[in-house]
Amino acid sequence: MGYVNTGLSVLLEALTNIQKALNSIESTKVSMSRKYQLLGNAWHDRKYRELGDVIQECGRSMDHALRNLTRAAKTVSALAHILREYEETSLRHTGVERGGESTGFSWPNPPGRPLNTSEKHQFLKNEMRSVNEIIENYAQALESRGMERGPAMDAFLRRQRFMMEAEALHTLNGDFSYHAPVLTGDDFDAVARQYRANTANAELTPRSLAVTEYGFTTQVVNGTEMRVYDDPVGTASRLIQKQGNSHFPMEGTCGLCQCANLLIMAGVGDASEDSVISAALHASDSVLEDMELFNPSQDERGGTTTDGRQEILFRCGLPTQCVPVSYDRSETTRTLSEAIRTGHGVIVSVDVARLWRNGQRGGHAISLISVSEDGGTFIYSDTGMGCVGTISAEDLARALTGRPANITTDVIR
Amino acid sequence: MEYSQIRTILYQSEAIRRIPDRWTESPPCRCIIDGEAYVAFLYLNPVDAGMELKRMIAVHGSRGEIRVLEGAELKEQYGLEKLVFSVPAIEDYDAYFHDRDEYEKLFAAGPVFREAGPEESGLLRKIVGEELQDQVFSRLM
Repeated sequence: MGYVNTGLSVLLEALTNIQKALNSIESTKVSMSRKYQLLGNAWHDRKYRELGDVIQECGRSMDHALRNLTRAAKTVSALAHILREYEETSLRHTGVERGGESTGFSWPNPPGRPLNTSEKHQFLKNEMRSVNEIIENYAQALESRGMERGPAMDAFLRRQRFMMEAEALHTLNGDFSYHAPVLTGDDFDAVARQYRANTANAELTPRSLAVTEYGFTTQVVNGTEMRVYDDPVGTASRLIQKQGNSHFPMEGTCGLCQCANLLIMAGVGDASEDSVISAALHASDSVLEDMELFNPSQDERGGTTTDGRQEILFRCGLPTQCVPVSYDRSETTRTLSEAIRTGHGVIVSVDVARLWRNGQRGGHAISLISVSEDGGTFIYSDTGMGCVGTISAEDLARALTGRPANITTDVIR
Repeated sequence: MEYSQIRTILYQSEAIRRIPDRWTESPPCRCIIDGEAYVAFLYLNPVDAGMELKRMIAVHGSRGEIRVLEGAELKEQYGLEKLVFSVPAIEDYDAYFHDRDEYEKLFAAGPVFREAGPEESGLLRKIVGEELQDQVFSRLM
């Protein structure tokens, strides 16, 4: 009878190596093809054509290897899933689940013990680096097909990046069902054809204006007519309505969604929950720890702090200040009102018991998207409830948790 | 030091900027750390079984310096048996917020460092529940 000794960390490492091999083979194919084409500028004889036949045959062999490796990845992935389930069954019998980290079980012959949170963070960082390499390979593959580096390619590559990073996080949380597509030569051909004639017009850097471009208009907001700053109804239609709708396995993303909403209000056309999560995954260790990426409950993953949001927004090109709440809360609501009406973006932390009154407890991040001309009513985006709400200045004052507000340094609209 | 100054120190601290959005802040309470008197704010994370005590931010009563203690440190410092506590469901929100506001007014009235009167203690028990009151708050002094 054969003897097998392995562990989850070994299998996850094998999956990473298979992915690297897949991308190495693809980039070699692309490189060979590009070089052959370049040679064709000055070389047209029979030998050149024979070389072409050899390269074609190599390409077919590599495609065969790619298919086999893709199948192998699926098998290893399924085995890792089964092993993870087995470990968790044993772990619950002997140990205590604590913040996504399990204890109490050890294989007789390590490696084979479960990864702790710190090791998972390290693994994730390694995966981020692999993703960077793969994205660069994809960029070269597209370039070799005549697509220029620029906004259109960046938009395509960003989506691929989100899916690969999401796959890494799904895998680390024991979900092996999510797979980012592995792109082949045909995929790159199709993308290059589609995008060659297009130039993406999305603005990628947040606005920084001298003064606000908007004043007060009369609008009906949630059934009440009032004079409000800018166009909260129109603004709300462009914002993320509900959190937890990204590729990533996390739903406690109120702060991250509001970061994306500030970027959208600042004119960053392709800001999304995915893009901000991706930015957060490349941020400091304290941001990663606060996100609780490996918490057993998806509801509890994706959290942020005031400091964390400041860092994430800075990484996205939007500097902010952390503005403390005052003991005299009416002073704070006046500060917030002034920030909004002068065109700054604002995220605040509120007590859901005050805001929702539905039995839930805890804090929650919302963005204030407008204010009435008299400063008595605020209009806010709430991605937890999936709505745009209105709240009086007095109620907002009571609902603030005491954590500082994130207010954009620059005028963004 | 007056309560308003203690609150201001808390709001302007680096420590509060590192409190995750999800955590909820307890009413203020008095506590002793290394023999010195502080006003403490506990931060708890809602979990299925109730509320998990995660961190304390304490402001020194006269010097205004900040101390931060994590859950495990709190357990050791105050001999807590556990970190997850059940809390009473809020049946009447208006009454609940009235109690919180009244408690904070009583806490802030007069010298911060005095023994809590029966009305103050009773309100705290109503707000945070028996488990937290008996197993955490009462052990902090």
